[in-house]
Amino acid sequence: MSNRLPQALANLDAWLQTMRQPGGYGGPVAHWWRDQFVYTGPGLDWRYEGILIGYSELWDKTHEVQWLARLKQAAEDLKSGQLSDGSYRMSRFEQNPGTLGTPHEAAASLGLLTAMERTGDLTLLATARANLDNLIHRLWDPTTHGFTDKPGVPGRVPNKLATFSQALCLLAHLTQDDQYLEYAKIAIDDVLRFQIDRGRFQGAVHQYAPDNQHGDHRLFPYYNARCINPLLTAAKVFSDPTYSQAAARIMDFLRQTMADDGSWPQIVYTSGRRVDYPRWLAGTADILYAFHRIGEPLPARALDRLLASQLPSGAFPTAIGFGRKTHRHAPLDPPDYRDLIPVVGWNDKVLRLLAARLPPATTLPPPNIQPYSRPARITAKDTVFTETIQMFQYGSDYTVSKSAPWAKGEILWG
Amino acid sequence: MQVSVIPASHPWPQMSRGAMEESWHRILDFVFADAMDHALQSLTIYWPRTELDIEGIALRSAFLPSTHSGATGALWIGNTLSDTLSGFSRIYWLHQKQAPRGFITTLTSVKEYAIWTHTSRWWGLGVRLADLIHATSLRDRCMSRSQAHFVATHASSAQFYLHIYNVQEVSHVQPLAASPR
Repeated sequence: MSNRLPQALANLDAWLQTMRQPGGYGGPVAHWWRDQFVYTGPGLDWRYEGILIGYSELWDKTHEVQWLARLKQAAEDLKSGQLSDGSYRMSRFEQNPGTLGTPHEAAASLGLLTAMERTGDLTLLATARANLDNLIHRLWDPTTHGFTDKPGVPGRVPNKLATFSQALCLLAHLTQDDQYLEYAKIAIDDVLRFQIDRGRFQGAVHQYAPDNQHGDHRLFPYYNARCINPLLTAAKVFSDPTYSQAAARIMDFLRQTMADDGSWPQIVYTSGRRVDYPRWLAGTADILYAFHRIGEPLPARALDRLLASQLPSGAFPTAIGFGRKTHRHAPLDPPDYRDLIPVVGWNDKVLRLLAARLPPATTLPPPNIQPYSRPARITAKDTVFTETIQMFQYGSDYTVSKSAPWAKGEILWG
Repeated sequence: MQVSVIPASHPWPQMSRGAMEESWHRILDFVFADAMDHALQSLTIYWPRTELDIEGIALRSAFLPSTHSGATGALWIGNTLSDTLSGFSRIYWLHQKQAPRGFITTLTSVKEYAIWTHTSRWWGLGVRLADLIHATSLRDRCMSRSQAHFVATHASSAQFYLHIYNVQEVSHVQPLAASPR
């Protein structure tokens, strides 16, 4: 693993640089909730969490100036993409173009604050603070004394609140302003409120509480994993083991739901039903990062599965089995078009994980990336997926220039 | 590409929530992608003063390179076309008629999108029914199918239709009278 990891990281970094365009990192998005294959311009969303934290790690460990340059460049994307109210332009990931993306803006600001600690650039602190202040202003619900997911809608999304809490904890530390800690505690306490306290799925956290009273009985291993690091931060900041115990119980759920091949199902319902597909590839990095942060060995099968999936371009594909989202018995081979597409907002998670696992003072080898083609399927139609340094292409139907904010050709449905 | 919004006065449904909002976002994406693909120098949006997300237009205008192609486009939102569209080289017509008639037979390079198809709406009914009986996994299955059928690029019954016309060879656009669905 130690030999594989630096090369994987070097190739991933090289791929990420192919995804830059004026304004930031762009490209299509495949996701469980929705896809965005038409707008392919920059997204100032959670992709900046992994990018900024990943490059911060690389800078810390190597002190090679290229990582500091990457860090400054990415931080500048957020700074120059901030709107007058403090929100970030194009912050809704799969729902871009849009603003006030959750947890995207908080995640990006968390990355920005991490970068600020390395660069010493106080303008980054001001940018992140304006952003988080705006989120507090827009999402605070005085009636229920908590943060909603959308202005005017009472529901809570615990994993998003976890990310928000972590960003607020870091902001409080950097500004020495304790009012942010009050908000951070309220946000993270909503994670505890929707954690299952008994039974078969003890420890898992509901995805959503539409009425702010009851969980929706959907348990996503991926989103549960994203709660771990913020809970550990809360345990430290508030000197309260309740939060680390909650994190440990989520880990039980993650161990329980891991499949033999080192993947996780998309959704487990409290009824026992499951949605097995799509199973994340690049996104698995966030689950493995939870193991890393809590100090447990990474499941070897899961890490092997992730590293083995790396494409010749240096990127990691999104998933396996998107076709089964609508047709339970859809073939896995050739892959669905959404499976193969590498997405910056998933690959940033791999960058953060691999950078965290890189031994200190490791110089990365030169990247070795190449164009490639793979068979793929768009609904029932066979096609060929091609990626080069400049573009993604599905047969003659659809092309995305990596430097262009809009795709060309017929859209991938119908 | 320069983008401008001109208020118009004809009626149009609100598209600010749920599937209507999703329809509006998809429509704007198709229009902007096509306009960029055809290197339009300008895009004029005739906006019927209803609740449409104007911020979505501003955001989509943020990363557009300037071009000097001379080609101009217009997005017309309404069930009856206006002759104010004369002179545009590319017309995007968002309407609610499945089979508009009239001048389109003289135009070329047509693309069609059916948005929020009736198939999608049926699955959306399933989502509501599943909500009523608190069947969460059934709800997710219906939602996935509703999303998968949200847009069609072939003839399909839908809430909205986006027709894209290349009118470079046409000197004058005739007004189209409203026709029964």
